[in-house]
Amino acid sequence: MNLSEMAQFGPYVWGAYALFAVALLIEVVGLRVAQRHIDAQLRQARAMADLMQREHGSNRVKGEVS
Amino acid sequence: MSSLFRYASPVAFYPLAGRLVPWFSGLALLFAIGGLYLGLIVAPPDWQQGETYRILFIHVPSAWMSMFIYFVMAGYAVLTLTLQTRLSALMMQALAPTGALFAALALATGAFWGKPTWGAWWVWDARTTSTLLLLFLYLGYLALQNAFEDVRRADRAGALLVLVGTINLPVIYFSVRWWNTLHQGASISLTAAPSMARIMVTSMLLMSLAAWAYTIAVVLSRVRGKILWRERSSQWVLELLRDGRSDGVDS
Repeated sequence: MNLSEMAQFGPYVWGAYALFAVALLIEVVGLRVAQRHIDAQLRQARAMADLMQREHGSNRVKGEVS
Repeated sequence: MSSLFRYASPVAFYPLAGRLVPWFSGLALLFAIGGLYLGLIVAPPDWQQGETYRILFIHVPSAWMSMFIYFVMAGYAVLTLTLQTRLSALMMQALAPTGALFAALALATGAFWGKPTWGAWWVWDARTTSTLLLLFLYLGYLALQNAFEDVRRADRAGALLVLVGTINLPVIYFSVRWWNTLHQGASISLTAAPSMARIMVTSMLLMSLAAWAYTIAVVLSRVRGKILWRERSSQWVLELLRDGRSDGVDS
């Protein structure tokens, strides 16, 4: 089958495949962004804890649940 | 057996999940390339539906995955309520968004198939309506999970909702037998020969394997983030952060 024959699949087939691909792409990119966000938050909390430890001799941030 | 139980602990599961993600991502890509090649290039048009039937190569795997993911969630819900394992609740949370996505895709791709075949984007058919209910169950679970401050209570409430919702799974599966539906019956079954051409069945199975591998890769990746967040005060997470090994899929 060549490309011109594949174009004959019509808008319903290509619409469904495009929707499918975009949805999965959004999930994968969204997941990656969420991972980076979690990582940044954890690093920030870690830096805060280190700072507290240096200044007050305790690494427990206020409100933190152990 | 004891080594399997070892991986019920988030500390042991986190690096294992990180190692598995690239393998399942690669498998998903390979299966998808094979399935798309057979389904879009090699397979001929259907004698009755013409080219429109090619939508089934993504519609059927989406529908299967939406039900299978919920079934797996129900297993984790039982573990959450009985053994109260930390990882099982996190696995449910990681599975739900992908399950909801596949349920939505099953409905949407079904609409793209229904319009040229039935003449309507949507009909209140038993199969489509029960699948819509499955999507609402997923969304309800996600909403409920975020409605509690106390994560343990959220885990238990979510698990209970998932278990109650399992009643919908046999309804979806047997709906085409129990009621006189517009939706066609199963083309593939474990007890009978498929009513489709071999090339079409092969393509559909390859796409299903791709969806299965994709789900495992995405869910393992997501659960890693959830483990880190839930265990953020633990010593092992702090050490991981100190070593700079918490980001991405590699461990």
